[in-house]
Parts: sequence; C-alpha cells; structure tokens
Amino acid sequence: MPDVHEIAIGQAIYAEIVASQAETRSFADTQLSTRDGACVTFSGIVRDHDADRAVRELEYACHPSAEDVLALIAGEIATRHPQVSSVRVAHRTGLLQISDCALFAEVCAAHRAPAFAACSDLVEDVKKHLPVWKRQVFVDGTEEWVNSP
Amino acid sequence: MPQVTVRYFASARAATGLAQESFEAATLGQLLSGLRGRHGERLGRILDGSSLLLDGLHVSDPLGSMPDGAQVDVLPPFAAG
Repeated sequence: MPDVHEIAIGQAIYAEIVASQAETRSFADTQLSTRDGACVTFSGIVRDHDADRAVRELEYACHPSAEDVLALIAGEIATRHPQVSSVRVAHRTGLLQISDCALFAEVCAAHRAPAFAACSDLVEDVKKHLPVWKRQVFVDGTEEWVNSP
Repeated sequence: MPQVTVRYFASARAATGLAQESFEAATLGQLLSGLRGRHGERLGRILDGSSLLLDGLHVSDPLGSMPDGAQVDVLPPFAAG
C-alpha cells in the first residue's frame, strides 16, 4: 500500500515510484471519499512511435530523490488546488513495453472543474520537475536518452 | 586537494560507462574541466546541458568550492512521463 500523508486541510497525498505493471495497476485502485463527486485520472502510456520512428521499448531511470520529489509535487498541487480531496501519482521505473503505463495520476474532488485542472497541472509538473530519465529503444536497435544533448 | 565523488545518471552514465567515480577538485569549475578532460566531448556536451547537485543542493557557480568528501550528481535534462 502507498504511504498516505494527510496534510493540514484534510487532503490525502499518495506518491510512489513503482517497479512493475502490477504495482501500477494496484496503485490505480481508487479509494473514494464519500465527499467526492469527481475523479479525474490520467495514464501516460508507452506508444510504439516517436517522431515517425518505430519504438520497441522504454526504460525509465530514477534519481534516488525521485519519490520524495514526486510527493513534493503532489503536495504542491494539493496546496495550489485547495478544493481537491486527494492527489495520487505513481511513476514507473525499469523496462516498459509498448502500452504499459508509465505515469498514473488521479485527482478527486467534490466537483469536476478543480479535479480536471489539478490533474492537468500535476501531469505537467511531473514531466517538468521529476528527476527521471527515459531511454528509448527503437525497432532498428538504436537507442537514445530522451532530451539529452 | 578535496576528494569528490561524482555520480552519473542516464546519458551521463552511458557516456562515461560509470555509475560513479572519485575526482580531486577544489572548485566546481575545476571539477567540470577535469571531467571533460578525462571523458571527452560527449560528456562535455552532456555537462553543458545538465544540472548539478552538490550534496543534494543545486550548484552552478564555477568558483564554488568543493568540500572534501562531497558528492556531486550529474543530472541530464529530465524526461519523465
């Protein structure tokens, strides 16, 4: 079970780096609050192409601080969106196949508008600030660390 | 001369073939030019685009001093999600 950090105003924060698809799936099992009326989820999925090149698989590598940074990002989203009741986010590490889930995010709230807004901000902040790297292996056998000079 | 442990991640690890190594340097600038000299142009390009952590805190001043036993992390641009 993921760690639960209840912060002062009663928002629940869950943040985890997970090493397998099974863990991603179990993480995605929501436990709703009776106050929730909306739950917005996002799954970032490994696709089979990038800029017209055929992709075979991806590997994610994490800095040792990644899980702490993920929890900070989720906590900051809860603070910025005080109407949400819970913020949950998991990022995969290790080798992923096509159609595997790399990033799972979920935000619940009494009403849909804050849940949509917070979930979108959460995904953008994770992509910008999480110290995680992606090695992309193409079908032709070449590979690259995405975004690296 | 202070002894620094340099940890490499992602493309920096691929370019050096190392997860970490020791290096003697008194300042950040000295460390970076020493690493370029040791590992060549590919790591040099990656260093230009990387952020650096000194004992967990971001640093960028080339004149900043290196405490003995410091740990420097080389973080290439992130690619989460």
